Amino acid sequence: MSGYLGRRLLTTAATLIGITLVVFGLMHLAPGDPALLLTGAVRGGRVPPPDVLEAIRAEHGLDRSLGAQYLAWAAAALRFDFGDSLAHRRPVRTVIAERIPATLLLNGLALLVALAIGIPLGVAAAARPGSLVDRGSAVVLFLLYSLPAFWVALLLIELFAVRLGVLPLMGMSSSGASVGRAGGLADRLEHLVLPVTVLAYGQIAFFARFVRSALRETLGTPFIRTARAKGAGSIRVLWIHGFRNTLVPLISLAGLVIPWLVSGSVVVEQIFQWDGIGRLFFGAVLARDYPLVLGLAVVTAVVTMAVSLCADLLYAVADPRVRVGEGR
Amino acid sequence: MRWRIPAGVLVALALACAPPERPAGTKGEGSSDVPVEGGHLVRRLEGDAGTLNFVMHSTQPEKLVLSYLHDALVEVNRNLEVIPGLARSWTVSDDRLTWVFELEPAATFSDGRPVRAQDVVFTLRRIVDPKSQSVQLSGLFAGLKLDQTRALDDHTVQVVFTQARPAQLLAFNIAVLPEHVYSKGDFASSFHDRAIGSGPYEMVRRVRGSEILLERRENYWREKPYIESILFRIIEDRNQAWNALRAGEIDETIATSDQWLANREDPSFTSTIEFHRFYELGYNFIPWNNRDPILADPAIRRALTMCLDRRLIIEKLYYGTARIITGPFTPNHWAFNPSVSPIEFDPTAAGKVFAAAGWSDSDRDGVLDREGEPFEIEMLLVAGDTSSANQAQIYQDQLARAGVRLRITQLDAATLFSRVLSGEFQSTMLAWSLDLDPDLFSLFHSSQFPPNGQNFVYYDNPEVDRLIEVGRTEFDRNRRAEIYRELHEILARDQPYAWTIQVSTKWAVNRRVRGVEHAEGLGLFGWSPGPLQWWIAPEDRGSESERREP
Amino acid sequence: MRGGSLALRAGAALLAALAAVALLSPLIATDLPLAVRGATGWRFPAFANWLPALLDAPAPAESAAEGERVVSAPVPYSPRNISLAERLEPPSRRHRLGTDELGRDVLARVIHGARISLVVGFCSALFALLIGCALGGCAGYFGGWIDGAVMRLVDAIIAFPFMILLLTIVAILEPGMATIVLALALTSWTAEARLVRGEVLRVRETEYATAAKAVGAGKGRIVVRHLIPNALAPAIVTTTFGVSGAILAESAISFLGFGISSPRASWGTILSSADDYLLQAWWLTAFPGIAIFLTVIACNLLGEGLRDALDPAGSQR
Repeated sequence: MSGYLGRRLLTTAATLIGITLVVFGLMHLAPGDPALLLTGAVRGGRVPPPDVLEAIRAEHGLDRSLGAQYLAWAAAALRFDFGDSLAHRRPVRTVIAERIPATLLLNGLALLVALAIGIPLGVAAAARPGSLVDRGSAVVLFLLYSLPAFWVALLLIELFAVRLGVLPLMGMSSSGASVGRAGGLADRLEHLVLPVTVLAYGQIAFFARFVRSALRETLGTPFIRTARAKGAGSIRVLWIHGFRNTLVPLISLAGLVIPWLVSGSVVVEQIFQWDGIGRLFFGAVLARDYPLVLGLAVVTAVVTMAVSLCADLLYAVADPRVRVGEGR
Repeated sequence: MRWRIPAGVLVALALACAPPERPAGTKGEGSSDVPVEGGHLVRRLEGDAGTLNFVMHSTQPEKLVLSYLHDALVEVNRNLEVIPGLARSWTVSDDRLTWVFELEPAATFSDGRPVRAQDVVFTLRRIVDPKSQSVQLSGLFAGLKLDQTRALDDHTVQVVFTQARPAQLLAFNIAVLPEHVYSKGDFASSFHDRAIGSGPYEMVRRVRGSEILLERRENYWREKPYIESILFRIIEDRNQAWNALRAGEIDETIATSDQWLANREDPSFTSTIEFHRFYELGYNFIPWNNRDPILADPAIRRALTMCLDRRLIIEKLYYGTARIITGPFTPNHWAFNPSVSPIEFDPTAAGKVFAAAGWSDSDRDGVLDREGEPFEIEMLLVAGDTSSANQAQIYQDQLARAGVRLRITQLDAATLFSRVLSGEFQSTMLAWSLDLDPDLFSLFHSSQFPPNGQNFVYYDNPEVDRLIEVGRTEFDRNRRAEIYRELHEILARDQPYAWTIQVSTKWAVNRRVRGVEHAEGLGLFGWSPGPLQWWIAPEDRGSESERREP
Repeated sequence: MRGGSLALRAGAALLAALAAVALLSPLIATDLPLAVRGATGWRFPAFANWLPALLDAPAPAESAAEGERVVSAPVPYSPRNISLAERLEPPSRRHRLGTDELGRDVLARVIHGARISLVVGFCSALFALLIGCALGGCAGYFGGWIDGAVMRLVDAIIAFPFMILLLTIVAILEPGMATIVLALALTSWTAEARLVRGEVLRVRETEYATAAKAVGAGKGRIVVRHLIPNALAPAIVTTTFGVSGAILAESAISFLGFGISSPRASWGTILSSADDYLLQAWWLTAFPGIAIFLTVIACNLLGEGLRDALDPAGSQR
């Protein structure tokens, strides 16, 4: 097991280096001069004179060869120094650290809401396949799932924020609230309602269907039928035996979903002016903010791979039949 | 000249105006029209200010915020005349190379220290230093003689140039930075989040990406403005900004033509929101790459303009709130040549021009061709800019009828601008915001091909070069006007761009904001006192406290 | 189970209908006449233009002259016909689903949009399924370093937010349909790969694989007969989400401005261009929305049906 862990950590490190190399390469392959973008020329400015552009490139080390740039970045990154963001003109570390809580909060809540509704629905549907609950929830969930998020967001804003005026339009807290005291809890919750709804509604279908399909498969297996034959109550069967056996795919699912917690949603964050990672990443790619893109890539990659490692270890716990790291 | 994406909503600075929707001063029912102190104004910023360092600023949001924080050395009044600012008087030598400014002794920075001549010298030195990355200002002070530019005493500064320019005085419409603050630390990196200036407001809070709060300086050296505090809320999306305006979360924003049309006669809307409509100094255009084999011929470029039905676009997309432009100057500028008539929509005539140039539809596929090559032009558009996309599709439709295929490629702005500036393009859609001075050197002089200047269409005409050179050294306004009218005529004939339209800005403001005026030739901002004379009636401040402390 | 086969049939029928609309879109919605009776006999301009229009390179075919008898298409508008005089008209007898911001017929655009949206959705989901099954299956079956390499690749892809990777790809390559399909496929195979791998790992150790091994069945036989059918079922369920997910993702990309270039229309681009007219023109969002909904339902029914049909456990019931 420890040998396996060692190998895993090694390959993970190698993957991380690979990711930074690929991201670095991709960003430099994409046309666009960060120095020019930095001067605001694209957003309603003058085209800067060549000597100013050179000064900017020199300041950020963009005039060096690509290899030198990457090595310098990597050397600093090993000390957890990801350089300064070009567009934000501040350390990448600070910029990311500021944004992560916002995305964690938004996506975490959305995930909780989706799971809280999705799992019971899935279990109920699996318990009685073909029933009204099963069919009805399928139709409603897929109706929701098929509605594009940006469209729903705009409609909800129009209804609740503009027409009824009961919920805030956008942002993470009222600007007014932060004038006097730090944005109160109620204020922050109000700002969460619409973005969480928009992020969650499509995923409910995903979780419900996932749970239903996994459960039904397990319910068909011989040992469940045995349990039933032995007289275990159907609810007990469902929860204890059935659900436990869907743990393996659920862990896979968690491995997919948890990285999403920090990666942010570009569209929702953009519409609701949510200062999270998604919007930050989007802006960084558009601005060719190389240090920020690389920093964000490293952060999301580390989280993803940590989660993936945990998921693999959990497989062994949840399903003893899987022997982790077994070579052939 | 600053470029922008032609949507128009990207630009908050307006320099020109047209008759108002309703006369200024008639708004506000039942309240007195005597300005009253106090109130809290919420303005929209279309993007965060990347820097608050005046010397480095470049975008419109930065410019807008900084205009409240800094007084300028000289200011411009609503009649486009230069008036005293921090400098109460000035003289210029007969050779127009040496300027001497007398500073207002009462002027102070927000930290209470006086504004001194040494601060002016410090600011100028920073502007011309390439390390300061002063994109917007360095060009205005090209030819500054640093060794002779100095403080004569605490309140007298001498500025010397190697070359005289007719618009030099306008260039002094710049802030003065306190040397004792800005000389500490690295100038290019230490002042993005704070600003000390001589203006009527000071910054009290900044939340990156969401807001900037300014409060009125109580120790301001001149008469204080009425409004106590100004909150800039950063709202990038124009539909969200519109929602925020309707929900009363912000006091002003720019409207699209459709929003304007849909709401301007809706009483429930106009009872709280008022529209101002005015023309800025600026226009939309389609640059043609003059080095492209197809587009090198001025006759072809003219014929391509003939295929564009601008009157239809103005009527149907802008509901008459835009006008055709014929060349590099707009009707609200003194350099405009009124005798140049627009190239009218005439696909038949265009077809004859194409035929004369050897284009015909020999393979009967509906697209003209010449020597086996189809008549196809690629137009680059900024992805997500629906206004240009709509116009490009209309143009595509109209060109198709003349047998020309327009291929639309949507790119992210970074890619688009890098292609345009490296000459790897055929056409795109852009807009200029014009400077007050009509100098065309950077746009059309043949020495200004990228990377030197902004002649990215590679327009090369010796006669135009000569006229541009004469124009920027001529001091007599009438003679200059003649030169620029001639330039207007030649450029309109050569069509290095297809000059398309000038779209009026539709600016919506909550009626609780009073004293809003747009000046003839200057619009709402960029002149003195401009927004500093706005005020908020006491009876309309009720919702403010709610908004501030819910 | 009877419901399963019903779902299968209903989903397949609905999808077939959608595919037929997509395939026949140049004949259903076109400003070219279907048939013209001229002096020299019958001509069929719309049919002649069918293939070029399918490939989005419509060549102008000759239309009818004065006094000729004409059979026009059911929706006599091309999705590209701009008519500014008819901007943003609500549904009427003339334009059944109204017109868009450039006066184009929304019905014609939705019909032609089916072609682009379905191609984008199916191609990318199919590619994703293929890549995911191949890599996930290998990883699960062979284990060892192959497993490690594949799973780290999966991590690497998941680690990069999908929208960002997509935008980067679109920025580097010329934007267009192929780019979007490529980007969607490259970013979405990981879900399938993980599921297939997990299932293969699980199934590999179950009774029938062990039993099959015990009776001397070859490796290839085990993979084909036992592992793939078992692992495929959840992957197909995921893929049904994948198709609709891809169609929705395409609309999100369009909303951000990096979608299919105008004037071509996918459902996503129609929806996103309606952004500015959400209140003025409900028909601009409602109809492409319904189209997306129908496709999602069809995919789901098909997927569920297929799952029941393929699922060996289900067949025992």
